[in-house]
Amino acid sequence: MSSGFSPVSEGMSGVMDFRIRIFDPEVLSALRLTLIWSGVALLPAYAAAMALASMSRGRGLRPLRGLAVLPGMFYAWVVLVLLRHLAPDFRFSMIAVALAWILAGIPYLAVTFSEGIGDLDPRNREAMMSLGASRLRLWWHHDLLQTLPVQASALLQQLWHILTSFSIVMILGGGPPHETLEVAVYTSMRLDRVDPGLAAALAFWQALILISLRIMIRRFRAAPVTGFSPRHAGERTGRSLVVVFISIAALVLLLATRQDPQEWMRPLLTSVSLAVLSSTGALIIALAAYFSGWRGVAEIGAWVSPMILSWICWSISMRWSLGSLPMLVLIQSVLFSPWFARTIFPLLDRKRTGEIEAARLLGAPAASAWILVEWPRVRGPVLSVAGWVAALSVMEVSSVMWFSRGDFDTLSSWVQNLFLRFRIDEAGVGFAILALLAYALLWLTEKGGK
Amino acid sequence: MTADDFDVGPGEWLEVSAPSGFGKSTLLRSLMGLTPVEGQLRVSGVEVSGQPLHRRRFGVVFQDQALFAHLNALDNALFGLRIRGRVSDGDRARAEDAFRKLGLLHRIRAPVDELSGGERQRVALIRAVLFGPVLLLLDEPFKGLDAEHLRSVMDYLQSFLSESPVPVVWISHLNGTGVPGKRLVGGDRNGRRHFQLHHP
Repeated sequence: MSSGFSPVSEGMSGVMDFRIRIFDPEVLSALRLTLIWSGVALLPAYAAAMALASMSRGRGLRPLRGLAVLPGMFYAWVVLVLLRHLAPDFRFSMIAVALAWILAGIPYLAVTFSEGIGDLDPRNREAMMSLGASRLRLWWHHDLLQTLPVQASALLQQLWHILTSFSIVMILGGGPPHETLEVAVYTSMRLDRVDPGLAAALAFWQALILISLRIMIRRFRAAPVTGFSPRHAGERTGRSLVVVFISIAALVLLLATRQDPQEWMRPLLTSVSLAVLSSTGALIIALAAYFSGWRGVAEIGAWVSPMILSWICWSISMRWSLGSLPMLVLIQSVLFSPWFARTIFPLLDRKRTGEIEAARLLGAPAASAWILVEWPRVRGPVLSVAGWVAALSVMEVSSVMWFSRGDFDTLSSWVQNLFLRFRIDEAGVGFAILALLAYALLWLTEKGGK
Repeated sequence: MTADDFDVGPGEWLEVSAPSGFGKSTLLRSLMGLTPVEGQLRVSGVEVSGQPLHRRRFGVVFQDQALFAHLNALDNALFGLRIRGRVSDGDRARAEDAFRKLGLLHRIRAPVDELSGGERQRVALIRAVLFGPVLLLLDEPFKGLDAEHLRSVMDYLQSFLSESPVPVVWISHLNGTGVPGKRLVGGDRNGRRHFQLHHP
């Protein structure tokens, strides 16, 4: 990968730096900016989402359901296009990043809030109304308070997404270096200025924040911990997903006629193969962890900073001299295996019905019992999360960025480069292809899962 | 929890009875090999405690039936045969005959989640018997059956046992089923739960 870099010696010095530089001014500055801008982005998104959800009470949010599953890259693109025409000076600023985060947060939060409100017992509302509560009081004393756990969970989940999001930051964060944790690491990697000590310090803070968030999220069991499980993605979007799918397909067809197909065909194929291999690898890792008794390993993955995981994989790759594609598969498999773990472990853990034991006693060896009895039970959710992971893999920028050098190209990095070169129209085509792929994978697997 | 040593001969019934929550199902699960237990379990003189589950050839009716939700009633019943190879026409005929005898022929292709409690119980019983077990372990096998179906189930089991006399260990959920045989009765012994053997 990077020429002249000695991973072992610098990695060791990086460990020493890790201890010292946690409170490095540069690190703390990135941390401060990340938290400030995350909060700045989260509050307007919360207010707008709550207003939308309260006004419509679950109705009229159908378009938002489709928008809720769009990746951050889409919102970044919208913001970039808008700012390009409206305020050119803003296009590389953190305000632009925050705007993209706000736009990305509103649909997800609004859909989640409206579902929380929709789940409330209408008899309580009727009772309050019969007791003379006005609409405002009804909202304050019933809707708002009753859905607080859902709100808190969704907000924390959104904050989690923001803090782990590379996509938006990467697209819009080409300006001042080290403005966020992700940008700091990304920039050093991108410019071949690998600094493990700095990366470790930044990753430490990210992990600390994420662990704190996760502890808080676990307190709000009323709402799903993931907040946006693949199963929910399919349920919530439903037919509107197909509409979005067809719309994007039409857009791609329209714009693709203006492009050189050779330019994006290779990255496209690379991304697809990467997505398939990553989702399969993630499933294998999660299942192996579960059945080997090391299930905690997969679950811990959900608690660990993506940066740390990427860093570990990256260190392994340097020692093993793995090629770029195998390394990407490894990284993405490791990064996504917690998704599988969180989806299938509860299924595998559910109250035992004795089906496996019955199959064993009827003569099925362990593997056959699993294939014939357990697999049909978990097939739907597993296929669903596989599609979700494949879609994430296609859209994922974080891992790709680690290896997005001239010698290796994926669709994501290609789109990224187009954005950075202000070839926004072409980047739009690239994004449309990415989104089309993601939705196709989701749609097909959801269909298969049912 | 402890239990007296006991033996059950071919075609004999051993009834396990105790108050609810005492550990009857745990005892049965330990015989199945699903719960660790100290002691020995011999079938036809062969020690089977160390055998993997799928080699034991135990016909089991679980308390909650544990029917396979993705298979219909017939495929559930044939599972034990299918896992050992191809299902012959004769096997299918035997299965159909069992469904007929137990008044389930009209439900033979029904998904199991559409079956009533009593129907599920009978399908589980057919599944436990059809593949030719060497021992029957039945956890409340008559639960949810009305008098008519209880009679047909008993007839079916007696018919099977007359052709293939295997030991039957079963948990009763009510008294007075009229099933002859030894009994393991749960009670207190020196402050510990203990199953004591009673001969008829």
